[in-house]
Amino acid sequence: MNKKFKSGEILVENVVFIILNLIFLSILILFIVSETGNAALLEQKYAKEIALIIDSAKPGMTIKINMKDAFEEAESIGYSGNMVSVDGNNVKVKLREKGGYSYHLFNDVDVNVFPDISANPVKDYIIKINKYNE
Amino acid sequence: MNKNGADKVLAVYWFAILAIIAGSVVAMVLNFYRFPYDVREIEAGIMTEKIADCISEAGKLNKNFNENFDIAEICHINLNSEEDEYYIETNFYDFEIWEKLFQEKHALENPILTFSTGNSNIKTDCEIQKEKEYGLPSRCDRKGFYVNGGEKKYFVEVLSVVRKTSENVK
Repeated sequence: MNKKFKSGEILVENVVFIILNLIFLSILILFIVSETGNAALLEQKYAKEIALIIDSAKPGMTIKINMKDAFEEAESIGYSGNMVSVDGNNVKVKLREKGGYSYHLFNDVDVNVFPDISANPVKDYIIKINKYNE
Repeated sequence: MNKNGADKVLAVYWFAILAIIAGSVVAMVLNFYRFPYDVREIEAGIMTEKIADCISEAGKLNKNFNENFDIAEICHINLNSEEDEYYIETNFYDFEIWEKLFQEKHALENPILTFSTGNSNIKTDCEIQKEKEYGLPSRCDRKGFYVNGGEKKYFVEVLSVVRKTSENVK
């Protein structure tokens, strides 16, 4: 009887130990995921990426950019507005109601940016370079 | 110390090790992601390529080229409100003189023509970084190419400088 009780004690200790380790690792992974995929970081990443794409593009080009992670992040936050806009010489990426990131362009072109609604769920944005500004 | 006691001491050490690992991972992640993405070097490179494409159309000098060549206007570059953050300089050298200097390994000097736009003060950042690259100053991109101007042949050197420190460096 005494021996049985000791074995049970060891088992409980090990289970508690393993559970604590798992909790610890889960918190660590959650922290890394939240830091690497947050809206502010994605806004900055896509604003700069799109600005560089437009800067290196020429009239007549149509570029499709995969923004799956940005769509997912905006959906998880509950933001359904326009995510990418080009206002004058600034690209703005917005994945939250209160937020957004702008980056300046130097290429003087007329650009249209819109989501590719031909796919379901929508995961791409289309950048259409029309002509040089007069 | 009995076995049970030894296990408890080991468990304390185990959690101490985990805490050190977690602390290191958190510190590394925070340290990495607190800096913005620095795209200035790529941006300067794109700008240089764009100017080179504009000056040289399939190896021939742009038909709009003259002594009052406005890089920004002809090459469709709009620096607008961010004019202080950029600098573009284009130097035209006589190709034969350049060839001679290049063979004798002399530095380029006395361009025939120079066109520039933007904030010329940030050009000094390129000189500072010739030996060693620093984090804060502007990023520069310098490229040279040959262009056929009909009667004359040129060696063109394009320098693009992008500062934009607040958006690319914390």
